[in-house]
Amino acid sequence: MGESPAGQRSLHWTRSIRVRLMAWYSATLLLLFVGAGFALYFATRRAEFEDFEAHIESRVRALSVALATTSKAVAEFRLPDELARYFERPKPKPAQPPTEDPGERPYYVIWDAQGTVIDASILPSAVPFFAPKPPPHDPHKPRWRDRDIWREAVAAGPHGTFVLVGRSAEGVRRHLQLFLARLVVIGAGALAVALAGGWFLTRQALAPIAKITATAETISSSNPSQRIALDETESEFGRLAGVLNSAFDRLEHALARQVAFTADASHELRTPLTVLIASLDLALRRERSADQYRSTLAQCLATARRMEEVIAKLLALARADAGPTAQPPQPIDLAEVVRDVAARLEPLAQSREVTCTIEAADVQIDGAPDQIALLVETIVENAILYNRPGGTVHVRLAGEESKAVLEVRDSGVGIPAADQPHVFERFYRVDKARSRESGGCGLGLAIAKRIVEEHGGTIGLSSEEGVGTCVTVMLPMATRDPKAIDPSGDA
Amino acid sequence: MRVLVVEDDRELGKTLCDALDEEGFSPDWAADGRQGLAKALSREYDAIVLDLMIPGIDGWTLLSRLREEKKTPVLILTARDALTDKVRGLDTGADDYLTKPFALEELFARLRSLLRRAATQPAPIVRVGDVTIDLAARRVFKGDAEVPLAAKEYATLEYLMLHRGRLVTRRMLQDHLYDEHDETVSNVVEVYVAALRKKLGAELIETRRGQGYIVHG
Repeated sequence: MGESPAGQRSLHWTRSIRVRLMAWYSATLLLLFVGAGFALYFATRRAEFEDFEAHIESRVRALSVALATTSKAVAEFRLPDELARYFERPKPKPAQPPTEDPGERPYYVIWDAQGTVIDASILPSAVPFFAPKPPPHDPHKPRWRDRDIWREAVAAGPHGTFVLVGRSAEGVRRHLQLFLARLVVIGAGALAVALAGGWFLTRQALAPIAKITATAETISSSNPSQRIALDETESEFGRLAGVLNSAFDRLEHALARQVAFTADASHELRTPLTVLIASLDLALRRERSADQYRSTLAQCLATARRMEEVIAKLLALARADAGPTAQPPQPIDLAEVVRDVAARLEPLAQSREVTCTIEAADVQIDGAPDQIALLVETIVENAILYNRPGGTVHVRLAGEESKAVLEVRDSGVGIPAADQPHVFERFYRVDKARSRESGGCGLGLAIAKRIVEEHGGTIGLSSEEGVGTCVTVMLPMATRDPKAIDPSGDA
Repeated sequence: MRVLVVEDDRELGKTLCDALDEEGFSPDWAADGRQGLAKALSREYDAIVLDLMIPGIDGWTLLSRLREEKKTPVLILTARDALTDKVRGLDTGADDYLTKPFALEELFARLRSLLRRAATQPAPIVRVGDVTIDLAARRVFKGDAEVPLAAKEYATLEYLMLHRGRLVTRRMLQDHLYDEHDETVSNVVEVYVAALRKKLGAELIETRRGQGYIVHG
């Protein structure tokens, strides 16, 4: 709205299908990648910690077994050699366990029930006593606690002891961080490749649209006979191009007909206008006699009447072209219309020494009364005008099956075979000079054809030169015919 | 000046011929293309006024057939005002193009211009001795004084002046000055020449006995 044509042609980038397609595609991919990354990360993390904890628990169990099987008193317990490779142990047992960073190595403390250290490895710091209540169903299952970076498991050992094994979780965490970093880098790289591929694919897929747009622009601006040339005739775009091309064909034909019609119409109107202007121009160039003025005025009047007729015919045609009228079709007694028209044209027939005969059955149709009257009048008038003195016009109206058939047969000059296919075209005249004298402008049969088509019927013509012409109109009969509608009837 | 009007509309053809006649031209009328072409080829017209949408042979065909044989100046007078029609008309060999409806004044002016160009006389004023003829205004002067002339007298003088330096036969004058309906009385040319000599001086038009007349430029 209110945009310049150039503005409509250059698309705003947010409205581009390609950009929108890519936005949706990227958002979906991103969601998918982030989701998959999270799932993978948490699964790995869980597995790592489970592994870590299983490791510590197995040490707790080993220590408990060693405590239970020691030959000395519990207070004298010393770590057996087979377990020494797991822990760093001060060589002579000190009163207080020394503190030193054990790094990734596990450490242990064994307390008696009062919290006195029985045995310990080198510890990262002073480990506070921790005597958890054992779970009722499995008294030897360890309880966990986190202390700074250390994760420790404490279990009730034999003889009222408590066994703690701990280890720094820093290694696992670092490992997980590295894993996360790799996951992000690989994911981002894959996303970038997928997006680039998508961008390329959408360009390939939408390229025919750009072609169609470019062609359509040329067609609308300069060259109406150009058509969209797409190699892929079987794809969706190929079918679209086919549909558009046939639409362009119809448009071009309609346009050509319109141009021809406008040229003809302007010629038909301009010629009498030219006569008017030239006659008046000539008459006013000098003083004339009253007779000369009178003859000029008579000529101008005749010319103006001719213009009036052309305008009336053009209006009738435009009205028929405009499609069905707003009011619904009315029932028409076609026989009555025929008799009315014949009565109206009787003076014309007499002046041309033509005899009209009518043979009309009772036929009803639905339609626009004024249009149907114009149709019948046009055909009968033509039959009278293109006749010879002493000739005849026979109008026959009959109902055949579901059709009303109107036949108008004259004994006139006939129409040459070469002209017959064209007589329903607008402004087509078989003999221009002759029909001008008869007042024709080449629109009558074109109007008749439009009216018949508008009422769902057909019009045809057969003619032999020197013998006469027969125009046949078929129209659908009225559906409210009692026989057709009444269920108790024989239909 | 003899002009052929090819126009299928009877009223317009008649009006045009009447107007051209009053203006001192000698018009012939053809109602369709075939008749028009036959007349245009069989006679020496000074100009042809041609409608394009005519029965028989259309205007363009008539023009291209005419151009195969003759270079008679052609003015197209038509209701077709589209640019493509004008270009096509002029390129087919027309010398001028006027669209309907038109003013008679303009048609006459364009015809006069065509006739001047055909006589390789681009200026509208021609002087011979002390006689001056204004082809545009259709007025004749001897010295500074205007000399009133009858239409046919003027047409005779104009033809002689446009062909000055060349011999003009009596036949040529008859062909160009009188249309097909005129009674061609054998001595009518002598009558006009005598009238011109009386009004403009005896020395202007020289008689070549047995051949015709000549005006020395």
